[in-house]
Amino acid sequence: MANRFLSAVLVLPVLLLIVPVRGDCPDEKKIKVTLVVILASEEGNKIDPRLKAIAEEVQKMNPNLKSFQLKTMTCRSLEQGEKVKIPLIDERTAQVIVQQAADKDNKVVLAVTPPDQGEIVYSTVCGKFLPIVTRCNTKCKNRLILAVRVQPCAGD
Amino acid sequence: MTDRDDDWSPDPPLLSAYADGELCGRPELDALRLRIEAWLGSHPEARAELADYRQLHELWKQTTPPDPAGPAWATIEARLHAASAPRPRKRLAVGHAVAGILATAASIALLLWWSIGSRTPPQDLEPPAKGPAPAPFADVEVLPVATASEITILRVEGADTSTVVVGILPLHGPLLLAGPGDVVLNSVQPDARDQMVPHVRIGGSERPMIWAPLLAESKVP
Repeated sequence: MANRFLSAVLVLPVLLLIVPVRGDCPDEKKIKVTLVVILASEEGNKIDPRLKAIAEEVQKMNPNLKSFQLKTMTCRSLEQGEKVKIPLIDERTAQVIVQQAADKDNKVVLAVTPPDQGEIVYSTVCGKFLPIVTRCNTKCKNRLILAVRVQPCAGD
Repeated sequence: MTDRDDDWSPDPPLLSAYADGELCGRPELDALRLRIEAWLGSHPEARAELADYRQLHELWKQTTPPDPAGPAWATIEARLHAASAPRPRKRLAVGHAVAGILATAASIALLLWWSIGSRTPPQDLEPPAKGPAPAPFADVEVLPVATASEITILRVEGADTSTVVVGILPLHGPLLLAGPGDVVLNSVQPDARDQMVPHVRIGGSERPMIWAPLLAESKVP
């Protein structure tokens, strides 16, 4: 009996050291939000190859927008409920909140407040961008477009 | 009007440029070159200074190290390409040592050029003595380079993504747009100023998109 007790006393600390404790990696619960700032213009005809798909969709709504430039790409890792203001251009910002982390369907609820607009709350899959065409024109008369994505997806 | 009559005189950098022949073959500078020549004609004492500049120029040409030959550049380029691939730390150190030697040599060459370029004429100029070849850079501090996992790029200009050599960009390749059914709208708040509510294209067979119309686009569906 004493030997068993002694063995347990010796083995237990070793097991505690070896077995990883769930929750040691809080970053795993964070959602990475990627926000791409795009400037669209009626001048020229130059489309960044990375923006080909979004340009096609936007041109369905407004064929006059012919040039698409990828201005900036920003990413932030947010916990559920965390709010961040991401700078865009000309001192404008967009506010992003992760309202709900990935659910059983691997969807994340995001609240985005673009400049000169009210808050938009939506549920989205991971890994794909939602375009938000704002009504902001820059000082250079470019239309400000945002594209928002959340990651990681389940299984990543 | 003569140059002796007015107070104009070429400043040392301009006189140095003239001595180096930088004003020749440039029609837009012909007038300036002729003016300097006229000034030199009326200022014989300046010719000694001009001779000093020319001697300095010749000295610079004689001491300029030759550019590395083509094979040397090819070797360095190959090492730089190899350095970008993951490999043991020891081999990385060799590549960095080469880069460090090159950077140090470039710095010394730049410093030498700058010091000569300042055009302060020395009192006695003598041909350089044929001394022993400079010792190789034996002790070069190798700058440690972070790995991709050690760098988090939070924001980068779209035009500058090709300059990021270490780290993972927020976006790789083309944007992958959400498809039909990928996005579900929960709520949209009107703008506090004018109550504008954006058009929301979610559902149906089109890709989801949110569009805040300008006044001219008020008829956008």
